[in-house]
Amino acid sequence: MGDQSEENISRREIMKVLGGFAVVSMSNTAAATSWTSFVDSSEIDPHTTETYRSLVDVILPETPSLEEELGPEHVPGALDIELEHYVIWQLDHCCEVRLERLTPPSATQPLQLQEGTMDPQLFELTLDTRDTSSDLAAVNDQSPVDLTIALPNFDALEAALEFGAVERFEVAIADDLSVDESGPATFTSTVETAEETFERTLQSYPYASLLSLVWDIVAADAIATTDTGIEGVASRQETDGGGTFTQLSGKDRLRALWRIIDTDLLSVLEPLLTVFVPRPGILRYVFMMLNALAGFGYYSEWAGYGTSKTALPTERELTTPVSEIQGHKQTGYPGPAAGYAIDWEFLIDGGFDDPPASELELPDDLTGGDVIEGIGGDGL
Amino acid sequence: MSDPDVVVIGAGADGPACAARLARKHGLDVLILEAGPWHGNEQWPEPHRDAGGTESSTTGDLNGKLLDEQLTTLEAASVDRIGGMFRLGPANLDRTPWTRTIHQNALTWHVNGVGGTSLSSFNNYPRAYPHAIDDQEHWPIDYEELVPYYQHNETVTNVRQAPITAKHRPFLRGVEESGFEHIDALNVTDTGYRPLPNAIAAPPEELNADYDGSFSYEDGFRGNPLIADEFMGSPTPSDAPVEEKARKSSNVSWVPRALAATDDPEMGNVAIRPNTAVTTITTEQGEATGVEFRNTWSGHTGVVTADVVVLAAGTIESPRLWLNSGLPDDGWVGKGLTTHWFDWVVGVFPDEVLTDITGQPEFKPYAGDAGAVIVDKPGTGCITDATGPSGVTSLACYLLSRAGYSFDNDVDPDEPWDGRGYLVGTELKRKMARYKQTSSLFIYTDDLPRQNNGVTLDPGFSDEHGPVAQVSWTPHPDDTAKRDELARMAAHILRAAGAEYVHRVDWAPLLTFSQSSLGMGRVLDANAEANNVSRLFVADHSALANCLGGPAPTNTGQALALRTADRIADRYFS
Repeated sequence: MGDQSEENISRREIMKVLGGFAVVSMSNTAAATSWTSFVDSSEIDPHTTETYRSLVDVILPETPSLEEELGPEHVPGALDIELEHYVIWQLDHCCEVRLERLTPPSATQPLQLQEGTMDPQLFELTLDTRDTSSDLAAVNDQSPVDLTIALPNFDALEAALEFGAVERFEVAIADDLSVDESGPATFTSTVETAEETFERTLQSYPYASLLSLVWDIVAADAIATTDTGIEGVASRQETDGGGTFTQLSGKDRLRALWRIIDTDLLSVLEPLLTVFVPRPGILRYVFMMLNALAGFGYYSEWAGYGTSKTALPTERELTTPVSEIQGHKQTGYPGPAAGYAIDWEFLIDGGFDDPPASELELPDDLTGGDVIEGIGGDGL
Repeated sequence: MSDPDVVVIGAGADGPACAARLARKHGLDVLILEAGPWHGNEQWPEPHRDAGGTESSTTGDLNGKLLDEQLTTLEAASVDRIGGMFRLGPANLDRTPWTRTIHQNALTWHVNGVGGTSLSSFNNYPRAYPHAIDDQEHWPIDYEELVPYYQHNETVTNVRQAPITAKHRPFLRGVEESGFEHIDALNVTDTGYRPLPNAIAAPPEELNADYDGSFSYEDGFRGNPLIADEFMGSPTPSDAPVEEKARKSSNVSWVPRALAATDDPEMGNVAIRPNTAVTTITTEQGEATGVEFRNTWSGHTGVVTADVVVLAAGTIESPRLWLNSGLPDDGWVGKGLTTHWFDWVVGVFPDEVLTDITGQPEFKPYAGDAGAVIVDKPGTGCITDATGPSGVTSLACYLLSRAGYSFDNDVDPDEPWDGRGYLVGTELKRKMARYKQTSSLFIYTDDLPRQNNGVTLDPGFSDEHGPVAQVSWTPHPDDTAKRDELARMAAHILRAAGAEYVHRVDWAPLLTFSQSSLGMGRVLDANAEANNVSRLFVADHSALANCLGGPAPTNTGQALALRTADRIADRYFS
């Protein structure tokens, strides 16, 4: 019938090439595939996992000290429900990049992009630390400017920065961009450690692993900047594959991240950060996300999805009774209900006073006066 | 519908009101194109997994039991910004949401779909403060002119005073102890407190603490079952037809009313096409002629022509579409965005105080309307209460701040709060363990429209519809001074009620009930028609000239949309 959309064709091609399978909807319109749903979370590399574990652990820790005060149900924390996988999933599924919007700059005008298109190179990165003198030197190899000159604190940063178990990192577009296609681009995110290679494929931008390296940079900058008082307290051996970020004490991890908002870090480190993200300003937004997501994920029903926690949203199944989900036990929130048998009353007998427009008599002064002494007017 | 008189872009809070008025009062045929999904309509039994039907134009397609099945009211499944059904993104939940570029510590919270952000709304329906309409310089019309539209909207959406339950009583105790005057009016011109006008049905008289009956509509339950499920889509009472759900969000009130016009041979027809993203407003010689659209499931594109185009895609997507369509910009398109410059102040209460106030040492934050009491201070803003489920509570109370981590914040002893900023770790768990003893107050500041704030196109990132919106919003010191005042008032009220711990979160900017990015008096004339594009009207909250002095904008957005429908009919169809 010749009516197949370009989108359907490109997904079938992906299926053929990658040997996977997609969720096909009832109406024969192929739903987007998100490959993480068929990937065991153990396929996420230890650096990524440890970085986000070390973040959620400080926001919502295990609290044995609360057992006596509040009861044993208040002891478990974020790590007990693998909250790091909530944060990783959110970051990895927040943003699609469209194939039809990816156009390399033209050969004759290399710096010109058509309006509404993006250079695919902005979304790709390869970092290899194996034959370099330091992890920062490996980043410098990918930088169009010489970071030893562009960064005022290159030496101190270099001494502090470690990407942990990561020896090689790559984000790449899997699609053949010479073919005119539309649909979400497929990305591979690859981490090689000394022992293993971890590769994942997503139809969304794989931010989680990429940003875990950025958090190491943010942590290293906190250490390298003399007035922060922040230093690494854990050795590389102790962090199970994590990098500089995981070497900080709990509060210092948060202090280091807060410097994204509170200092000029983003502009001072811009040449370094742009190797990872084209516009480092988004890191302020991601900072917001990291904190907000930790609480929302923890205290919502997410943990109750059990083994389907990182499945596609349409595939998740609640396997724990809602009131017994960890965050719900700790707050006493029971979950959905049809209604509540509780007392209620109206304050105003007969309802609001509401004259017709023709009888509206507004006073001359339409503003309200102060009520609480010492508060109001020109704000103390 | 292939040949509408009017095409409306967006079936959110206000678009359906405008469409309904055009069809019912003026006999016009209206096609509404909505980028998101439609819940509770038999043509889309699995709206997030399947493309379903194309268009629906009859109330016969609406199905309340289907809505019950689709809306689990579990928090993450419902309102997770990325994987939840009420998000800003394509209906296909296997895909990511759509992007807005924000280079700030800030959060946007808008929803697309039939019902728009009202799907996730507390449905507080106060009117604007007359001060903001008549005294402030922004509006080209008078408050008095809006009153008949308010009254009609309030009748259609069942606005009444909120019922007071135990969870609202700490706030009430605090305002009474603080000396605020009781207000019993809908037109507010002085400082005081009152129950919130909410567009939610009243609870039935037989509902009280001794009620042991069913909450199902099929068993005879009518009205508000007092579960605070507004944020998660509010499908209660269970088994009720869509129009009989208690919370009268747009999908429950104006959408059925619009479709009923089609069913009535004396009126015009309304059809709604979800999963249809408008990509361009077409024009010829300075006049709008229609739209180009793209189906979000199939990618198929098409064109609709009409005599009038109504833009109702929301405060961020409307200006984005305007700019992506290459329409004229005299410097205020997307600009002047107001956000209410929100803040959130938390009070945690000890057993004995709650027992004194409510008769019990704790209350159910999930039982009763999400917000039921408002303190009004025209000229500064307002304060409401707001409680709900635990996930959103943790985020709002302790995990969205511009003030850094409380463990490093000194608290000014002259300020009426005990903590400020992010709360984490053992302290966070300790406070969240007292969820049933925690009252939250929602501060709405009267922030003014400023030209440096708003929406531009992001030249660096495009989605399938074109360059995405880039949002930039920074607070002005004058507005921050008002916000500080309201936060101090809120903290004092909580103390007066007997809170033992008060926390000022000092929120990072939250753009949710946002306004005025295509404001009347700037981009639009007094008819809400674009100054520079004839036959293009705006009927969403971007058309509001300012933030109304603080109150939540839905009532005013809809009232204005009704008026705009009348102006459209006068101007182009009389």
